[in-house]
Amino acid sequence: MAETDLPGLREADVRAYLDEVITPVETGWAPHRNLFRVYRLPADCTADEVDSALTSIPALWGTTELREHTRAVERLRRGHPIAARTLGDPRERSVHRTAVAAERTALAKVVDQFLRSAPGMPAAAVTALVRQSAGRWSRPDVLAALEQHRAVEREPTSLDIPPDTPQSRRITDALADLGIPSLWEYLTRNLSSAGPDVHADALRRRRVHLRTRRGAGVEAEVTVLKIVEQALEEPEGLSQLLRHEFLTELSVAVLLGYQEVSFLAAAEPQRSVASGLPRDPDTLAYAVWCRRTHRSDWESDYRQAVADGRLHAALGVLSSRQLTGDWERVRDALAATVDRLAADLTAARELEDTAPEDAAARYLAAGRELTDPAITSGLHRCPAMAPAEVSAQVHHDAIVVTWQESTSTAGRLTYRVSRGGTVIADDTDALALSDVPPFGVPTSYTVQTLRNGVPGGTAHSGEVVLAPEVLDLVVESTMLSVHGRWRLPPGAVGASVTRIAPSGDTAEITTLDGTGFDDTAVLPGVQYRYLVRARYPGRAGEPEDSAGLTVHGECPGNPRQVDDLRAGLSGDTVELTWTRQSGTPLVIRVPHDGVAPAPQVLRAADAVVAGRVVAVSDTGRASVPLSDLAGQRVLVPVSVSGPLAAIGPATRVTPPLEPVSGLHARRFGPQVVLTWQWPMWATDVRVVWRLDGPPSGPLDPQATAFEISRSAYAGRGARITATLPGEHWFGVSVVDSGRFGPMVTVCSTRLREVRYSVRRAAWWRRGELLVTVHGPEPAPDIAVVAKSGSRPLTPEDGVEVLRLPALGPSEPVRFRVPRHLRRPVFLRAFSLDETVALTHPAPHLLVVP
Amino acid sequence: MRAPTWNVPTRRVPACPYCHTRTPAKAYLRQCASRCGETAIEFPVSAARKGECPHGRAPMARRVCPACGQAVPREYVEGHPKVVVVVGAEGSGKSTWLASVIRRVAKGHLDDRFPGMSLDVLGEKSRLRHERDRVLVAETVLHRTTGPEPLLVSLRVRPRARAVVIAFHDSADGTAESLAHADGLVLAVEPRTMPGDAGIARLADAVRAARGLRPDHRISLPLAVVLTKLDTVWDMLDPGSPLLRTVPRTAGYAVSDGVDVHHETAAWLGRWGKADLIRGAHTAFRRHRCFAATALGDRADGRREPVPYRVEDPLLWLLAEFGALPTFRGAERTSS
Repeated sequence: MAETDLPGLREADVRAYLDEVITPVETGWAPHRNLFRVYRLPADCTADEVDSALTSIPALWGTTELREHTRAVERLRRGHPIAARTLGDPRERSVHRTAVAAERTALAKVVDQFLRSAPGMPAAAVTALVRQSAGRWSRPDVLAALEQHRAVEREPTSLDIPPDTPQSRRITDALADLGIPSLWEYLTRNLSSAGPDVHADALRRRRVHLRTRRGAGVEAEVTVLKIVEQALEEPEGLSQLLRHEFLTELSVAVLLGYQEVSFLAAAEPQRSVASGLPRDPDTLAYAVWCRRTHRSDWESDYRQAVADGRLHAALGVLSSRQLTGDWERVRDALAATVDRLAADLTAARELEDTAPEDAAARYLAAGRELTDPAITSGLHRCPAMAPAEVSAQVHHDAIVVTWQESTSTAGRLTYRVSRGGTVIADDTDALALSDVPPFGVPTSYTVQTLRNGVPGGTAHSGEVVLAPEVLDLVVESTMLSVHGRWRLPPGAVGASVTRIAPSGDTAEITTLDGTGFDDTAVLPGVQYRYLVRARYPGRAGEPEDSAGLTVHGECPGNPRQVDDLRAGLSGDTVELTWTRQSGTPLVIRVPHDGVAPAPQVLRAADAVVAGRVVAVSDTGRASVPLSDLAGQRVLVPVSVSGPLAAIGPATRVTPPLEPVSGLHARRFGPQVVLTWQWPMWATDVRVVWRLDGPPSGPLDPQATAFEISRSAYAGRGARITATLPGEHWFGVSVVDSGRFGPMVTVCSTRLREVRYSVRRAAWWRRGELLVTVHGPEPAPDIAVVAKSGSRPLTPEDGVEVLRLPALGPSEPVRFRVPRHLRRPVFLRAFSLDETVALTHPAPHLLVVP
Repeated sequence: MRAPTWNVPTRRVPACPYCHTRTPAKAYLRQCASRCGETAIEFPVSAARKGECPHGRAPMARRVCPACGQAVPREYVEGHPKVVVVVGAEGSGKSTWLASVIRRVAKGHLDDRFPGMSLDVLGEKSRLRHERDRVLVAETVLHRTTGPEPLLVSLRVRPRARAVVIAFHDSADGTAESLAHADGLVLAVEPRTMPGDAGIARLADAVRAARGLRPDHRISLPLAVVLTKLDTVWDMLDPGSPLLRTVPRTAGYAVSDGVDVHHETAAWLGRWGKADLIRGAHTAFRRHRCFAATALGDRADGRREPVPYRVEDPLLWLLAEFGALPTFRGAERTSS
């Protein structure tokens, strides 16, 4: 506030004087601390200005507006003589000016300490500062100091600060385990790409993803997900969690100064929105700053105590203060609740001996509202019942522990499972689990019931021993011995082997360093069972054996021939059956040339003489696609035993012989192209043909014949040159290894060709033409047809200009083309006998230009 | 049998089969082989010294058209290339006929008439197209649109004879450029289509326009009118029809058989309402001939391989017209 020389004060000036001088003086400010302000003088005032002010200002004190402030005006009047002396003397005025400036500087330092770069102070803080200065500084002084620091008196926005809840503390712990600084970062990093929009689907997907993983980090993340899921189910639940977390971070930043708070608030605007806080970072930062710097914290103490269930403490906070009307009602309601809960605890204490489950239920009900050591001790006095029965059984390479549910009903019942002194599951609500204890050692399990985490009764299982079997057990046979090999499981010290003959006789077999055996006391062709059991040291020197694995071993004897191989057709597949021989697979071979070797026993490597392999089976049956036979029909059974093989009697596939269908003959001059559809099984056909009558069969001695394969037919077709005129009969029958199927016939007629010629007559017979029929054979009836523009295609397609009878003259016959036919005129001679075709050696001569 | 008549081919500047720019053989470019690496260049044929590139290595055999930059086979540039334009309505069987005749000659199916006749497809593009068309003919009868690239082949009638290089341009209407440089035309006509001239008038106008001829000028280019898909009308033909007769085994083009087939085909076309086609061909083209063929044959019996019939006749006639094949007036018929 600048001191100005205003001899006459207007109404506004009077109000300003009231604020700057009268009110501070009334509240304890000493006027002599700044006489320039009291007399509204500038710091560099002149003597005339001082004289004028010393006259006009005291007159002001007597005005109606100021006169009522009696105490302040009296104080001013009393100090006026000293003020007049101080201001009137230039030296003292200079000293006073220096003192006023020093005060300003001191106040500026104080205000700077309060602000710490903040943009303002709330009015309460200003008032408190003035009050704390005990009259040294007035409110105008403080406001001036604020202005000097470019700050203003400003009220912060109110914030809804959620209390610290168990959920927020658990989530903080879990995030600390995960190494993630905040829930906000976890959500944005793992569950959502757009900040706060977290959906239940994303949570489910994440939990499914975590289901396949193990580890402390996974458990911590599952905890986070559970809490977030619960928060999502409540309105504004997740927002409260985020708000508490964000405000906590901002409050910590207050310790580092306002700039740090402002930077943090402006860093993530989406976080402010998601937390339900003001979007403007300056507003948010100033509100948090003022809350931590200038506000009493009894409200948060109260809220924290209620959130923690410390109702007695909360009631103490409210009872120790002077409260407004609303808060008084809160205090009264809280006192009633505390009394009710105290009565419940008393009732529960009385029920402990007679009805412990009811007592526990009452304790738990009270515990939902109140945190009290009496509740915990009460629950310890009312333990949950132990599980009725615990059983432990070996299942594969683990032990499965199961127990029956406790008969207790109150509270959340879970179980703690331990093996010896080792807890293997805690606070689980399952009724079974699997465990892998040390191998070969008797083990028992203890299951203890927990009621809301408070230990209850325990039950024990019987002893059980986990003894896994040997690993990778294989048995191989040679001609004289059986060899077994395996690996010992961890903890095993050896193995025992027992041979069991088909008669039931047993014998112990010595093992080689516990990982194999060589049994030479076996008979060829006899199948033995071997029981291999892993051995463990056990307890107190008594070894424990596993239940054992059984394998079969047999020294092969000479292979036995399969003499009952049968083949049948089923669609495109050959179905093979035979009497199965134990332990000896049967190899089906197809000879390359269709000739099967004689039954014999030979070296396995020489079995290739029976052809290529098309099937291997030891089940007594096999299926072979017909295409795999590649046209062959002979199948040879070869049984292999060790280095020997036995070739049995071959069998033959006999496909049905069906006739071809759609047989058709198309003639191209002397050539006939036969076409037909092949039956499914057919691979070859025999084509026979003869003149003037159908063939009597595929082996007709008077017919010409050839065989054509299916592939050759597909490639080039069936073409036959049948040049003689007359009816050519063609027969086609499927042939398979010398057998013939039904024959299908078709006829194609080769016309008899007769040549004719047309030429000009002698020059003096102008316009006449000569037609001559050549050849030794008798000529048919002939009609010569003429047509304008194009060749006649039929005898009716033009004008008949000449007709020659069948037994007509062999001499040239003259004829004339009618003049009315437009040139060029095309001539053509047609045979009127359908068995004869006429040809002209030079067709260009048939055109009359 | 008369002695065969030969026409001596005249050398002329070949036109690029892709851009149809006439460039002297020596003005074509050659390319360095891949061994020259990044220093590989293109250089004029005349710049090659002792057949080597400027880096002293053997260059690639193919030439490069200086106008369009397309690779052109050496045989095409140095030979006597003939341009045959195959036209016809969509689905009329142009490409199938062309693929069939190329396949038939290349696989030696004409050895009984022309011992030692061989055919090579020239250039990578032509080989790719031939392979595609070969599959088209061998595996399916569905027609499809072919590209504008020509099919370049080198055909030798006898083992030591001079090769005839032919560029087949196959398109529905024929491009103006290809018609301007054509040495022969093939018009594919499908039987039993709508009556009309089968595009002969439009084709004649296009040829005249491309060559700058008067509207009433009779075109001297040989035109082969091919009646395709003969197998679909086999049952209509008389058993004595020349269209069902065995092809004469002459070592050249049998004129009598060709005329017989021509008259028979023209008569059938006239009966099927295509008299305008015959009349238009006679009016506009000085040399023309009708043929009947089937490229696939009747495959209803399930055979995999096609059975073409008389597909080579148009090509043999064109070769005879080009002077690359002897002609025989009479026909040598097989003995019955």
